[in-house]
Amino acid sequence: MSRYRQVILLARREFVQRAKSRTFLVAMGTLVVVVALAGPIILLLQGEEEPIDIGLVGSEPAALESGLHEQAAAFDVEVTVTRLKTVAEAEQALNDESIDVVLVDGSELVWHEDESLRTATIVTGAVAAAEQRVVMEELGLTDEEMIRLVAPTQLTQRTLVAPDPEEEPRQIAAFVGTFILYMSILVFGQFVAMGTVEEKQNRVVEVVLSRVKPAQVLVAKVLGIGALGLAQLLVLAATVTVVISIIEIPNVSLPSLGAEIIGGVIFWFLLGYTLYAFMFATLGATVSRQEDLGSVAFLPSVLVLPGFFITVRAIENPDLLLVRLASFFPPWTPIVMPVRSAVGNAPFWEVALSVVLVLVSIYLLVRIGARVYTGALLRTGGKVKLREAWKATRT
Amino acid sequence: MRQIGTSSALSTCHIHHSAWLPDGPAGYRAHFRGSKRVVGERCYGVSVPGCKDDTRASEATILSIDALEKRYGDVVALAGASFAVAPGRILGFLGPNGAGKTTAMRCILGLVRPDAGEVRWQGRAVTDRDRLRFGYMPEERGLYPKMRVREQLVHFGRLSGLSSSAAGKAADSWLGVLGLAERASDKVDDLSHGNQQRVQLAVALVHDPVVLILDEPFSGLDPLAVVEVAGTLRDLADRGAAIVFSSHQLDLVEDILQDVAIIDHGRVVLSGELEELKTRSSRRRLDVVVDGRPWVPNTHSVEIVDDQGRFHSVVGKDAPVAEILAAATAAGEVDRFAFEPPTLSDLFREAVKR
Repeated sequence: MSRYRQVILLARREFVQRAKSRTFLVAMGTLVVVVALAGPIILLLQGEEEPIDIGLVGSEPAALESGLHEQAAAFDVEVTVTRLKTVAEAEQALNDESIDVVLVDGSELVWHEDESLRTATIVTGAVAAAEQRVVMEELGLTDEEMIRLVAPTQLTQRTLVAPDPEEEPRQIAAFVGTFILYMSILVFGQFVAMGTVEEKQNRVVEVVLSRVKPAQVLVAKVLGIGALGLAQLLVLAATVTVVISIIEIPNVSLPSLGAEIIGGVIFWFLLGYTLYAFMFATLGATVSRQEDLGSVAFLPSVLVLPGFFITVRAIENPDLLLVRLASFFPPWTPIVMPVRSAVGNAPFWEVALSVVLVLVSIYLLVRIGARVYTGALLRTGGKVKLREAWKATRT
Repeated sequence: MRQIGTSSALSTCHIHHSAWLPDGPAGYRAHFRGSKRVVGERCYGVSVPGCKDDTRASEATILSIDALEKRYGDVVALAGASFAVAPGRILGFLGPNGAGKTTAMRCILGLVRPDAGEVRWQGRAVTDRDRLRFGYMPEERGLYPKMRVREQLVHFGRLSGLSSSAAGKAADSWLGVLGLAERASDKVDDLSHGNQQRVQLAVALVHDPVVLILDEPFSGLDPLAVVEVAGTLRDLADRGAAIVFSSHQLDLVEDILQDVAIIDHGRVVLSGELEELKTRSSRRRLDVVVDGRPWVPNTHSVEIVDDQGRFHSVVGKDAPVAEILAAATAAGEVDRFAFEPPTLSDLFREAVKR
């Protein structure tokens, strides 16, 4: 019976029992549904733009309607035109939101509440063109001359720096990825603390410890629950992969962007979770009851929080000095560095260095955690001070 | 003590020792015997070492704690505690609350590292590997509440080194023996208190331990359950396990244990085979009832003991029995006259001097 096999057995129990728990299954199901629904929602938002509904009341310049269609075409939208008998009727239609704007007597635009600059430009352009047409007819211009004069002007455009079509999808993906990463690290870290306290609270820990060493229990718990976290991320990743396969964004390869973000989330989850799980486990071992857990489990959550805020900033400005520095502080590295990699240009050596720093921190935490865990696990009733637990174990 | 009848499982429990014998989780051949056990029978018909005639068991098979010391801050839990138990024997580890029983047991299991002294097994310091064949039932009972009964037994069996199939067989066997077969797929949480205790015992036994350590196994059990558990322990001992259990219910366990170790203030103050200790004792228990009332001889060499409202007296081994009987007869009609070796309680009181 090797120690290794015992750890695997314990880890397997953690994984299986928690995976079977209703709380986990419900949370997991909800997450998958939310992620799956994101696809159709994005598709809907992306869909064809609604035509602009314009109402006309009273007198109007000649050939206004065809002018409206021409102007709208320049903006790549469609318009519909409805003629209304009275201003009151038009206002009623505005209140019903069956039309977007009313043009009264070819001179006044009435909105419901929010003005739209684009719609105003389209209508103004059409009215101006119609009025110019009257003047031009008076001047006796030919149709061809008139069309040349009133045709909407279109400027060509160029940018000095080629716009990156991936920028926006990348930022959104990085944000979603960071959020999932942050939540996963905290949620599964909390599971480790809860599992530790549960075993102490229902006293099974002494039965377990008569067969294995505390350090084995510690490692197995982190492993088992980590495997569950990984499994959940893989299920989410599969859902995301299906979702992005039905969405298309011009000039963006969603599958490769998705794979990159998913890979980053999983890699940094493994590091970040391990770091925080040992922290949670160590703190969890010092209390004896679930009710007391809150008094210690908030510490890691508070520790990670500034990192999350910095991350949100980093999505827009990945090259800020603050962001760069934060990405080397091990408790924040797992959520700041992936964003720097995703939306910025973190050099390889910086990523590698931050990984090494996290690994060193994990090593130290395991050493401290195993000792505190050993000292605190059999102390039931009340809270054990970290120092006492440390001193209780002789090396 | 729990009310009889609160456990729904009582109707199915096996009181008769013979009904308790499993076919053996690890292939032991069951051997049946009667439910009546003769206290004082020396060798209990077992061919393992441990009888007095073997001058205790040979060092090679014995479990012993040698001069264990353990302090928690200013509190001395163990101050050089020693005792030994041989395979096939049941040792009662007795002592007042806080005497160091639990700490000593945790040392045996490796849960607590003693400051000094050592636990020896088969002639050398015990290793973690040896401990995989030890079984333990802590005083603080605990199981995984959401895990199913059989699943839990298999888990702990495998954790102690059984293969998956061996653990499954052992679990099924113990579930049958303990009358829990129908509860195999229930969650522990859903079991009655009595059945949870049975599962707890099964967890300690599932890997067929050669050394069994039980901390207060009889506390909280109703009288029928006590008989059940005692029978199980006896059968395990007969199959060669060395068993140590702690208790503070001396009258309850007197017929269960063969050897005793009495611990007080972290030190074992009396140990040995119970019958031998009784015989060797310089004192005798004098229990006389005259005219329906406890009667105490009117001599200065008598120590009066109030055993929960029932008085008896303790006299020297060489007390003049005939004279005392004559005095009792003179005092009235003698309903009861007993001059006998001290009970476990007497020995205990004497050992801990209180």
